[in-house]
Amino acid sequence: MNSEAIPAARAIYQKIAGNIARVIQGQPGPTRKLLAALASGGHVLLEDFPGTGKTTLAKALARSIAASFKRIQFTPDLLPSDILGVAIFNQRDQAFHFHEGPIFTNILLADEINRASPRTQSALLEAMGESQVSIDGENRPLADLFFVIATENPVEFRGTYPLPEAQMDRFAMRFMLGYVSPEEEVSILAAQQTQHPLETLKPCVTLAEVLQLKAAAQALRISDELKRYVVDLVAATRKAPGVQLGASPRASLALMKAAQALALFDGLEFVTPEQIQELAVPVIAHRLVMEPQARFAGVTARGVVEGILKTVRVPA
Amino acid sequence: MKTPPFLLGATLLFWGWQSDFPLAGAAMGLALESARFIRARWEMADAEIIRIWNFCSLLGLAAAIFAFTSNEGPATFGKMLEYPNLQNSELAGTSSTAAVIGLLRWLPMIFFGFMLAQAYSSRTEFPLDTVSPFLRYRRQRRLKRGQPAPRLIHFNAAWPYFVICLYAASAHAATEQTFFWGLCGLLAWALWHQRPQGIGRLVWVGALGAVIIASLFGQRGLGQLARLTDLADNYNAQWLARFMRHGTDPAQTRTAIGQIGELQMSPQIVLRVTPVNGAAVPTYLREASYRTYHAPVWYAGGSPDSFANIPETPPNSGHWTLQPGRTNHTLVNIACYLGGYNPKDGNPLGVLPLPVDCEHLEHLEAYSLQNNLVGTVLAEGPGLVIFDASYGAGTTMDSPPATNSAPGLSDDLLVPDKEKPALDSVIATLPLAGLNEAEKCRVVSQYFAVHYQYSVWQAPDKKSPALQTNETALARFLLHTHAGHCEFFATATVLILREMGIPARYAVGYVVHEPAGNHYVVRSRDAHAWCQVWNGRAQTWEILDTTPASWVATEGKRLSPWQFVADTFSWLGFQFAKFRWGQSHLRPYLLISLVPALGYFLYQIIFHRRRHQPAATGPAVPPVNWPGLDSEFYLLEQALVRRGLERRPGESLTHWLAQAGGDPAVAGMDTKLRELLGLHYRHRFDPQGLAGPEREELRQKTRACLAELR
Repeated sequence: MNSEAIPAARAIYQKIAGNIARVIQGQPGPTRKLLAALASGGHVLLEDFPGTGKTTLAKALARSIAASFKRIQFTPDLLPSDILGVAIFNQRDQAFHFHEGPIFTNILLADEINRASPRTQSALLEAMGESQVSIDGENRPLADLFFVIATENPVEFRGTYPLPEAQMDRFAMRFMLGYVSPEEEVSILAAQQTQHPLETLKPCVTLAEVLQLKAAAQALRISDELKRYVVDLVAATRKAPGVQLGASPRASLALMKAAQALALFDGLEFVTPEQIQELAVPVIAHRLVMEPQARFAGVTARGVVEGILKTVRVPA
Repeated sequence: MKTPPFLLGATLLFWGWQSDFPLAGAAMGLALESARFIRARWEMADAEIIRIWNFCSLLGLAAAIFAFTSNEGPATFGKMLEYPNLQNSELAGTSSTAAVIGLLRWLPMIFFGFMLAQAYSSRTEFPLDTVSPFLRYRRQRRLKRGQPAPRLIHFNAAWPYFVICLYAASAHAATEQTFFWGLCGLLAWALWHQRPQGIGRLVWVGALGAVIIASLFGQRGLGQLARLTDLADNYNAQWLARFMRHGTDPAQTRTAIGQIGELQMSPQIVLRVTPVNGAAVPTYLREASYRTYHAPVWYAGGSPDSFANIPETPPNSGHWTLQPGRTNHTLVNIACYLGGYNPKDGNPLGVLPLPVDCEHLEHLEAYSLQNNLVGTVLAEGPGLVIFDASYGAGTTMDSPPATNSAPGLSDDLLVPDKEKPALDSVIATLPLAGLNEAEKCRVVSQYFAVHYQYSVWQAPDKKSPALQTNETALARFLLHTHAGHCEFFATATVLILREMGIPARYAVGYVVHEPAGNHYVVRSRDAHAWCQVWNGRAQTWEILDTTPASWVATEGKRLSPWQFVADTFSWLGFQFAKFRWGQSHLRPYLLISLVPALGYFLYQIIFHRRRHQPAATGPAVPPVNWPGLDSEFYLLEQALVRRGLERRPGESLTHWLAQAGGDPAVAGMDTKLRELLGLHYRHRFDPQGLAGPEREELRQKTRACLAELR
């Protein structure tokens, strides 16, 4: 990677982040993570209380990029074909014609993903893992930029279907937005007094620029020692007390890629331990299956990963 | 903010002078002030400072325990909890005050180690976290939660130590005047260096002078007030006659003669008697003797303050000679409670039960010992005393019989007129003609043994002439009932002998007869009264106990089969009392048990051994020779760790340096350290590594930072 690619890629990141900040105020951390997932080719699960700006963040990102954007509101009666598409028999030419579903897009917002049935949720599996869908025995590749932002509400369980472990593993990151400070909330009120800033938000980068950002992140240097550190962190979750199922090598991969993207955002040419530590919880925690006893004892997956971060010796 | 030169040395000298530790004060002052001339300094990490502080705190705890137990703190507090009255609360307060004052005097010595550490440390100030576990806990908790750590506050221990020294000196002011002027001088010295710049020297001196004069008057006023209260406290006439008692009163004893009904006696264990070297124990342990009978009370006679001090020779040896010149070697160990209290100073006070021919006492930890002319020994000391009494046949502690001619003494031959008819009628029946005094005594004894019975029951007899005439209860015993308890027998014997012209006294005490393992227990119901008769030939008092021996068996029958349960609790109570009154060796054990802990801390401080860090629970990193491990940045890290800025296993260098930014040692070096860290990270984590000139830059910058740190 030439030395100019990094500042250029960083500039793309800054443009998107700045554009999003016009809509989502006081959330630089989640925006940074969201863009790290985008640049590393992962998908994101936003889990937070209603009204904290999950959908707005996803929309703001979609609008900031001159790319196609689709939104699916997940409901219990949603069918896999409603996502993937369906082949309809055309009597005129006596042939089946495939009608692409909303998944054939660049950025997909899967709103309240846990409201759909597991069957429908699984329809996303192949798409998220392999960037292609198989319909009627035919493989249909998705766009070069395929980014899923799913949201779910952690407090409401009636009429919901918790995401299966396999699907959770498909998400590169899961994080929360959290409530903003009173001052920032006041400025949100002021900004939306007349109209929502989202309505005036214009794309600031092209699809090609985003692909350039992804390529730059992928090419960022990471030392073997830090790869080992990533593996050590993930491996430690498999032996941690209270954890029934630890994180998979897919987690190591996601953590390394996301750390590369973050280092790029920081203007570095190589990854440092700080980026790995910053992303360890959002990348690893949601993949852990906790033992019921540990769960009842108040042990959380987040706590387990934080504990591992403290005990595993960090390269210095 | 440093203290003025030599101020601490002078303050320590002053403290040593005022607190009677002049040598210690001078040595400590010299050691502290020498730091101004010695250039060598210790590189101390926070962990070392914490250890020194813990050592000083432990020393303080040991000193507090020592001071508290030395001033009978457990005893007074135990008493206060048992009997929560005003007097006991005051006693507990007094002992606590004495302990606190003792501790205050030692404070400069206790914290000297910490002060010395600062004086010889390369750091002029210590973080407040090192002396506060709470602050350390708060910091760790915030770091654990990922919140920014609170800013480190540093302090100079010299000023608090200066205040501690002055406070300690005030706890034991040698004389009011020297302390006052010394305190003024030292405070003026300290304040002179901190005086506001905008104020003239004369104005400052004038203001200080005014404050000193005002405080001088204030102190004089307080002194006068204290003198008045002392006067009130010391007004306490005839204290001996007024002390509150639960046990035997040396001045008088009220008998149960004349009472109707059964005499109830408690089976509670009051004494524990242990033979020493296999010797037999004395049967009778006397508490007091009395001379004058005025039914139903026996009086000791003489004035209440007729007690004379018995010297402890040599002082604090626990050896008290009651009869100089005798050489008896039979010993008996006696444990008894001092049941009363001296109203003057609140100390336990009581009559000691002793063999009548006791010669001296050993291992008796009493504050004072007094005896009167009738052989009663009064002890003031802890609530429980355990001692050895030496005894043997021979003279007794009592004065020889006195006559009316001796001033201030009652007659040992005095018989109340109203008892005489009954006594005479008894004497008339005795075959006494031609007998000497010893034979007469034997006849009297036989008379009681043959014609009288032991009984604790006195029946109301409506037909008795006693109700119709003025016949006394004793006369009724002698002439009609012929049955009574020991007080009847003893009183009757004393009066009969006196009536026959033989000097006799009424004695009370205990009979030792109940073995319990390797010792004897004496219960409250073993209390006994007997007659002491004067043997003119041997010039000594002898015991004449005319109570039928069946009284012991009679009392034994009244013992409950469940008595062993009560005895077990009594034994436990006795063991607790031994601890409570400092008669056990628990206190030295307690203090000795602190020695290993103190030694451990000392070892840690001297040899810089760190406590074992819990191993990282993560997978062990194989010993791979990762690139960049030769970075000079590690020297810088080590230097900062030596200053107490330790890095946890999972803490990244960026986070660690951000935390270390609060330390004054690295204040102002933030930018340089960040640049250096950038180079170090490239050297370590960039697969391309550093180019030659950049590698050299890393070396140079690290050296510069190290030099700046030093």
